[in-house]
Amino acid sequence: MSTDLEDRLCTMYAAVADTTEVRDDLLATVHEAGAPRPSIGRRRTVALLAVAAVLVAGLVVVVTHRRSTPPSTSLKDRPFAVATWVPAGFAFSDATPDVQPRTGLRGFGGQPTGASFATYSGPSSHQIAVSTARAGAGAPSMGTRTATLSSGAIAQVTRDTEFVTVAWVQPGGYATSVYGQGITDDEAIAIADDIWYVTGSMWQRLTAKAGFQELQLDAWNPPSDGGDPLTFHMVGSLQRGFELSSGSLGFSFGPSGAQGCRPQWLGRSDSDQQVVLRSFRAVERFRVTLPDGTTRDIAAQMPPGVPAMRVAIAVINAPKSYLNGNVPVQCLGGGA
Amino acid sequence: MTRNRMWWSAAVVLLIGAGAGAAVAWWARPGHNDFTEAAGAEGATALQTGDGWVLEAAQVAGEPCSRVRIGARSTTCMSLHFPAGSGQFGEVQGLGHRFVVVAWASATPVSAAIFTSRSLGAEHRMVSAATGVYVVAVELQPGEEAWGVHVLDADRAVVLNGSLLPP
Repeated sequence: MSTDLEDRLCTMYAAVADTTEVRDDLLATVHEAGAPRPSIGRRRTVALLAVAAVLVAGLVVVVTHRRSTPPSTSLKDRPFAVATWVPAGFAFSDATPDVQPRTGLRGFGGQPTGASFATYSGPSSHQIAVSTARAGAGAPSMGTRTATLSSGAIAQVTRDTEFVTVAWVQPGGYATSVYGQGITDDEAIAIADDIWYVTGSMWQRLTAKAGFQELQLDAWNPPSDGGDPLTFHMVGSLQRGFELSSGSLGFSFGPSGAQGCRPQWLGRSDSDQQVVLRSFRAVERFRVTLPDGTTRDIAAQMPPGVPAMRVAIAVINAPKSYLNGNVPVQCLGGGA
Repeated sequence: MTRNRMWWSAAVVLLIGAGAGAAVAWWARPGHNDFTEAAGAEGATALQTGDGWVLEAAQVAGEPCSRVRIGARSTTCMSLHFPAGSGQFGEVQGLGHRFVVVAWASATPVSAAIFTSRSLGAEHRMVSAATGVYVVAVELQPGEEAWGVHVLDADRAVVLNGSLLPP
C-alpha cells in the first residue's frame, strides 16, 4: 500500500524534475544568443514555485490516498477497544493509550505493554474500564466462571463483591478485559460482547474532544450475491455509543438490540430485492429459503473490528410480500 | 516549458490564496447574536450572576422561563416546562459573551459537567429555577470551544449526555 504511494510520489517528483531544468549552461547559451531571457532571480522563483507546487500536489495525493484507503479489517491492526454500549447512567470519561500499567491488566496475570484504557463513569462514582494490551498480558486468570462471547471467544468472568471482570484473548487480536464496579455480570458480558476494535488513528479521532464528536468510520461493503453495493459505517461517538448503519438501516448494540439471526428487507423501492442478513454471533454463513422452497447459502462476513457480528446481503428474486415478511434465514457454522 | 512553469506558479498562488481566503473567512465569520430581546430586571429573579451578566427566572405570558441578561438585552426567555427527566442545553452568544446553558427537570438537585477545550468535565451546581427545574449558565472564555455536557443526578449517574459540537 505504502509502496504504491511511494511509487506515485516518486513518479511525480521525477516528472517535475524533468520539467524544471535549472541549468546554468542553458541560461548562458540563451544569454549569448542575445535573446531576452528572464533574470536568474525570476527563474529561481519559478523553480521554487514549481517545487512548492509539487509538494502541495504530493500532499494532495497523500491526503486523497489516505481518505480512499479503508482501514485494515484485521484485528491485529486494531489494538484499541471501545464499548459500543454501556449501561444507563454511565458515560465515557477518559482514555489512556499505550501505557505499561503497574497493576497489569485486570483479569490477566502477566505484565502487559502497550495497554490502552477507555474509562466510563457512572452512578456513585462507579467506573467501567475497557482495556487491551498489545503484548505481555498472558492468558486470562481463572475466573469464577466462564462465558462464551458472541465472537466465540471464551472469557473468564470474575465476580468480587461489587466488582466484575470479564477477560479474554480475542482470536486474531489482543488481550481484552472489561472491569466494572456497580454493574451486573450480564451487563459486563454484554459490554464484552459488543466491543469494537479500532486502529490507532481511529482511536485518536474517537477520543478527541472528550469523545463528543459524532463520527462515521469504517466504511464497509458487506458481501453480496448481486445488486448494488451497500455501504455500512460505524456511526456515533464515545459518549453516545455506536451503531452499524447504512442510511436509514441501523443495527444497535447492547442487550436491548435485536439478537439472533435476522433478515431485513431494505425496501428502498417496490422492486428492491436486497435483504440484509445479520447475526450477533460469529456465524460462517446464512442459509436463505427462497419462495420455491430451495435454499441458498451466502458467506457471512465480520464488519471491520466487530468480531461479534456477521452481515451479508442476499438478492432474492421474490415478490415484495415475501421480502417484506420474515424471509426464512438460518445461521450456520461458527457460533450459530 | 515556461508556460508549464507559469501554470504551476498560478496553481500555487491560487491554492495559497484559496487557503488564506478560507482561513480569513473562518476567523472573520460574523458572530451570531442571541441577545435579541429588550429586557429589564423588573419581575425577574436572579438565579446566578457573573461578570456583567445574570441568569434569571422570569414569567412570560404566565409561563415560567429563564434567560441570560446582559444590561438591558437578553436571550429569548426559554420555557421551563419540561417533563421530569428531560431538559434542554445549548450555546448562546452575543455582546462579547458566550455561554453554555443547561436546564433539566428533576425532583432532586442535579449538577452539570461541562466539557470544553479548556476544562474536562468541570462540575457546576444547577440552580432551582422553578418547581422541579434546575438551570445553569457557564461562561466560556475567548477561544474556548464547548464540546459537550453531562447532567448528573444526586447519585452522580449521567442522566443527560449531550454534544455541543456540530455533526
